[in-house]
Amino acid sequence: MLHLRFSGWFQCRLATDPDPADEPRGVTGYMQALPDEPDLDRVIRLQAADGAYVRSHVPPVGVFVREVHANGKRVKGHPLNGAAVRLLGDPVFKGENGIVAEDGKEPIVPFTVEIRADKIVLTRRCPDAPEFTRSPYPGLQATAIVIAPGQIAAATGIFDIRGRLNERVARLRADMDAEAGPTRRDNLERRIRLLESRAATRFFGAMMPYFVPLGGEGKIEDSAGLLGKAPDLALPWPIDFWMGAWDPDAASGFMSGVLAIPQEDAA
Amino acid sequence: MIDTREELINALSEAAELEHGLLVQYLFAAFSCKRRIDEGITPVQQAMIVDWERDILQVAHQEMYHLASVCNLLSAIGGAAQLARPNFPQPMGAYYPFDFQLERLNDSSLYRFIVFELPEGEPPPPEPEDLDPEDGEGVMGVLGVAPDPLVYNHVGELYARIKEGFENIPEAKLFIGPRPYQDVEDWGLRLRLHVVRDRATALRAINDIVLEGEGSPNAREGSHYDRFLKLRQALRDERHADPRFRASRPVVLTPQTRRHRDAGSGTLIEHPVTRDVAELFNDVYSTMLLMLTQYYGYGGETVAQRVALRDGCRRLMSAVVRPLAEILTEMPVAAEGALGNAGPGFEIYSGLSLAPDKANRWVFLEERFTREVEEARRLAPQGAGHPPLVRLERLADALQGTAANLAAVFMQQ
Repeated sequence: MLHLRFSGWFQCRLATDPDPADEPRGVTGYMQALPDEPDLDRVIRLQAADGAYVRSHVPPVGVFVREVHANGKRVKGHPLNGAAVRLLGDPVFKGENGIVAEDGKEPIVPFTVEIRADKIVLTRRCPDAPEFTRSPYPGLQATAIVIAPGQIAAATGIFDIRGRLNERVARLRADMDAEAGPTRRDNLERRIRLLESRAATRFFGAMMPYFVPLGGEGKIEDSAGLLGKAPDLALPWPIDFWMGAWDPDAASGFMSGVLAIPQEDAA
Repeated sequence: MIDTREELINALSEAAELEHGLLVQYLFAAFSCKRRIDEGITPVQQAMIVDWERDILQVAHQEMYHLASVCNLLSAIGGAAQLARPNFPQPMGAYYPFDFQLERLNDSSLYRFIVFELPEGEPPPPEPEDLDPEDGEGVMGVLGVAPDPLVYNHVGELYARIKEGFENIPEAKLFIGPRPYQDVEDWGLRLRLHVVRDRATALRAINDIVLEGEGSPNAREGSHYDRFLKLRQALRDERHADPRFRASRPVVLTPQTRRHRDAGSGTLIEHPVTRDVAELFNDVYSTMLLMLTQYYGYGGETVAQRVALRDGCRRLMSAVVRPLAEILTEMPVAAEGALGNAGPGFEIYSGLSLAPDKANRWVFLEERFTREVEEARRLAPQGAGHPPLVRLERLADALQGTAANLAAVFMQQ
């Protein structure tokens, strides 16, 4: 059995209630696309290279495998160490203004996980069963909303979010002083206004835990046989993780969890 | 002078109609706002228009709360919630001392909004300054019957009369409504609703409504009146800086799918697909009003059922009513497409009466939702010819989900 511990910042530029879920700019919700920024699209991106729009002075987007354990023992030089974690198929938090799920319990739809390292790609989908494929997707919903500021601080290394955001404001002000263009200035002013508001830190200490037994279609690319024992597609690969530490200016949050991958017997 | 229960109920019912009518006009203007750079606006103007739209929607949300407060006042003195209202347009004097019509965001609509919220003693706003060719006969129509704020009543005056009624009628005999039959929810909008149990709480509720609308003589800041004044000034400033600037889409005045016996003539929607979408909008809007009537009716529904009705209404507003309204502001009103765009007419085709039997109320709602889901799915494939319609599949899912959420609660009983 392999256990992959992963973590990092994801991005999701999404409209929030009471805006409709497909609102492109953000009107009545607190998330907005600012001047010269692309429309909000709600897609959860775990890698910056997958089309994330990253504002200045925000944490870099990227969720990666940080540790690999084989049969309970950490393997430091494992080929999956540092692998990129992705959710495939342009997944979204599918709450639909509370019609599908309450705020904070939104299912991630669709749900297919990819682990991509040099010469190894593992892909596995959620089970092809109604609770994972049909609204309201109970198998894909967050199990609760958990207030866990200490745990989030430990995971992100940010123990003073207000102080961290104030530092960002200072950098943005410096940018403003050097900026003459009206569009860019408007963009920076709006960012500073949000960062100085209470809304900027409101959800940083909250997390949404998820647990999905990945039991659907899967694919293993390991032509060099670097994994040794092959991952077993006959068994589910349980993944549990949380998403939280929401930073509305970055449209970004932190993700941390473990993917368990059973392996076929060598025989 | 109001000095009987019946007169007070009549005045409060009029206030409920008025608040409902105002908020629909505010919603119409907000939904007409341009959203995309390819609509002839700069990125900064795009963000500015979003700010204006947000401001108007916040005022509309407060009007919803005013409507709920008036329903509480009615309930406290033994009256029933009033969610019906005549269709648009209503020329000045026909129903109200105002000219009620659905008009896109421009100098003329903001002028009317300021007049609606004009505090007693404040000077009237300057009349609309320019007749934009794009505004066409719509603006001309408004000016032809434009209310003179020095002559005609404003919203605050109606509430002053209602306040007199609460002061004139002996307190001991006035408050006969059961206290639990009042709405105390914030509807997810962080608004504060008053429970009305006596004269003092009634007067406090009325005072809050008037304060939010007009402000007080020394503190207009943040009132609806003040917000509309500032918004109008900002719009005028931008128009002077950029004469080509238009904040809203070319939406016609008071779009209608048909003529109504209780209203004047608006702009008939002749484009067949647009008319179908507009009828779907009107149907969903009426479904929402029926749910609200049931919510405020206290006709034996359980707490869980009332919560489901409240949440269903709130979610329908965000997930279906607003997107449908936005779609309509991008759809042609006529077959040729040159006469402007349609918009949400908020038409009520028939009365909003509630079935006396509780079980039948759910059957009625279920049939409406089934019909609306089918219609949204039928219209969705036409998105190839009309890009805004790509949103319809999602709206059909939202309608179906809302029906399922209600069924989960109503079918248990």
